[in-house]
Parts: sequence; C-alpha cells; structure tokens
Amino acid sequence: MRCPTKTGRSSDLALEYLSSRLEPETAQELERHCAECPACREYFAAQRAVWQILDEWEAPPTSPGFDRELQRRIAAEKARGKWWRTLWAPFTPRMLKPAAAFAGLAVIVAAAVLLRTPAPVSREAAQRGSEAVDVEQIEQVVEDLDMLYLLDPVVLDETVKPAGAAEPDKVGSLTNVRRRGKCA
Amino acid sequence: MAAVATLERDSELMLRVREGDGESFALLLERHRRPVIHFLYRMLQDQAVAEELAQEVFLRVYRARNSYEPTAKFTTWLFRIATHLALNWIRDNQKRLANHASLDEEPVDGPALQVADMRPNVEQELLRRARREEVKRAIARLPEKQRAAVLMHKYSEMEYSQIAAVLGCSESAVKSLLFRAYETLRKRLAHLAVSPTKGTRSRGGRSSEPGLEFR
Ligand SMILES: [Zn+2]
Repeated sequence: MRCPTKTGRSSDLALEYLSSRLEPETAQELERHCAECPACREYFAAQRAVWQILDEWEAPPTSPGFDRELQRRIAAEKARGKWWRTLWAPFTPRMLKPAAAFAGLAVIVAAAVLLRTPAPVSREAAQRGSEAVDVEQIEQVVEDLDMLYLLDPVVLDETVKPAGAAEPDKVGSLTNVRRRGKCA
Repeated sequence: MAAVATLERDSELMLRVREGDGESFALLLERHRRPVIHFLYRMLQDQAVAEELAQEVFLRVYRARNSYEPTAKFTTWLFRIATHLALNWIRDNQKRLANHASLDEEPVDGPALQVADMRPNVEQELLRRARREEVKRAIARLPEKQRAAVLMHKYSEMEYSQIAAVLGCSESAVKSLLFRAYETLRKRLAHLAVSPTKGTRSRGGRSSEPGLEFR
C-alpha cells in the first residue's frame, strides 16, 4: 500500500476503515502499513480514538407512550379528513383548484388594496406605525396564502393527485435546506 | 444483500399501507422508530423535542402513503423528512438554543460531585457523564449540516449516497462535510482519548503512544 498520508487518501480511508466499509484485504494492508509508518499510525489512531469516544454517547430510551400518541394523532387526522371531505363535498375536485387559485388571487388583490390605501390617521402616527403595520399585513397575506397552499394537499389528498405523482411537500421538501446553500 | 432485502420489505410495507393496512404501518414504525428518534435526539439534544418531531415524521409518512414511490429508499426518505424538520426547528429556536449551551441533562459539576462518599462506581458514573457531556457539546457546536452528516454516518450507519440524498448534495460534498466534522471533533475531544474503564492515561496523552495502539 502506498502511504495514505503521502497520497492524501488518509481521511477517505479512515472514514471507510472505521465504519467497517473497507474491503478486508485493504483493511489488512492498511494495518500492515500503519505498523511501519509512524505518520499513518498516529493519524489513524487519533481517528479511531474519536470514533470510540463518540460511541460513548447513547441516546435515551423512547417514551413508552410514543406509538399510542401517534395512533391518536393518525385517528384524529382521519376524522379531520372526513370532516374536510364533507365540508368540501359540493365542490368537485375539478372545481377545487380554480376555486383555490381564485381565492388566492382575491387575497392578493385585497392585500394590495389594503397596502396602497392610506390609512385615515395623522401623518405622525402613520410614520410611526406604517412600517409595523405593513410588515404585519404582509405576514398575514403570506400566512393566508400558506393556508390555501396547505389546504390543497389536505383536501385533494386521496381524490385528485394521481397515485405516485411526485409531491415535494408530502415527502418533506428540502426547499429550506436547499435555499440555505450547498453542503460543502 | 441485506440492505436490498430491507429495501424491498420497507417499500412493500409502504405499498400495503397505501391499501389501508395498519399492520404494515405498525411494522414500519417498529423498524424505524428508534433510528429516527435517536437521530433527532442527537441532532437537537432534547428528547421531548426529538419525540415530538418524530411524531410529525411518521404522520407525514402516513399522509404521503398515496404518493409514495418505491424508487427512493425508504430510510433515505424518512431521514429527509426528519432532517428537514430538525433544521426547521433549529432555525425557529435559534435564540432559545443560544441560551442553552448544554440542553438535555443537568450539569455534571453540580452537588453530585461534592458527595463525600465517592464509591468507585459513583465516581466512574460521574466520569462517564462528564465525558458524554463533552461529546454532546462538541457535536452540538458543529454546523448543522456537518452535524447531520456525522450523525447519519456514525450512528445511523448510512452510506454516503444515502446521506447525499438526504442532504440534497453530492457524495463528494458529503465526504467533505464528514472530513471537516470528524477533524473538528478530533481536536475538541482529543483530551478524552482514554477509555474511562481503563482508568489510566497513556503517557503524555498522545495518540501515537502504545496506550492507543492501532489494531
Ligand atoms: Zn504512511
């Protein structure tokens, strides 16, 4: 084996060696090399030490009521699903999407009007309060739109979406993760 | 081989959940409850929060039963949801987290250490707890993505490809996250590099000493 320290492969090899993913022959080669090479011996021993220290941290046991609580929530959700379906029964699935879109549009228009219409307050008060009010109103609009967006998968869950269709929100979309940038 | 079998079984179970089979969901829960909760616990270092978020993870799995596609490995999918929730929770609780350096357990240097009757097992237990606290602190101080990557690699024994799929980046990016994370941990935890059970410190505490010989 060529010296991993010299070839710059030591980090890579250490990860695979310590997680027992290295081929047995390669692992033995590495061990033989470490017996002869002080630099590699020191490096791999240090990595192994960290690995062993991390083993000392065990997670606590799970609460005994965990499954029961989950069952309760699923049951509650099923009941809520039925309630939603009853509520939305007059709307056919085909009607629902345009309706939701229209409602969303209405919220945006209403928000735009609210934001542009000067409030009947004194100039001073307006200056003082305008920033806070604007932020509040925008947040409210965003919340409303979120609600409409959330409504969609809940109501359409079993009726409209073709089985197997990709539904990023349902698989815990990583939008936020991605927005924060690359891994490295 | 075993991984492939598990993949088939998990996805088969999930497809049966789609058909309304509650037993299959219970089986999936039984199989993945611990790894998910443990991951969330180590990520957030708060057992109550970890269990609460794990509830949400499995609720989402249940909700998504109709759109589930067996193409993605079930574990990867599960950890994507868990990581997503954990990162969101961290983002929403950053202030709270800043005020609590160590999160879950009581400090180890409290009155317990002043107990006069220091029987060996009590002493050893305190030592173990102190070491564990240091490990927790060192991991908690890692950047979120490095932390998630290390936890999946070290404790959940996931492959680079799976971690990459969970974090939405390339395998080489995952390796780079891991290199940096383990290197930081090595620096922060080097002083603990003696087993508490041996009770002896290798001379000078150097890792190259025979006390820590390389197998
Ligand atoms: Zn070497």
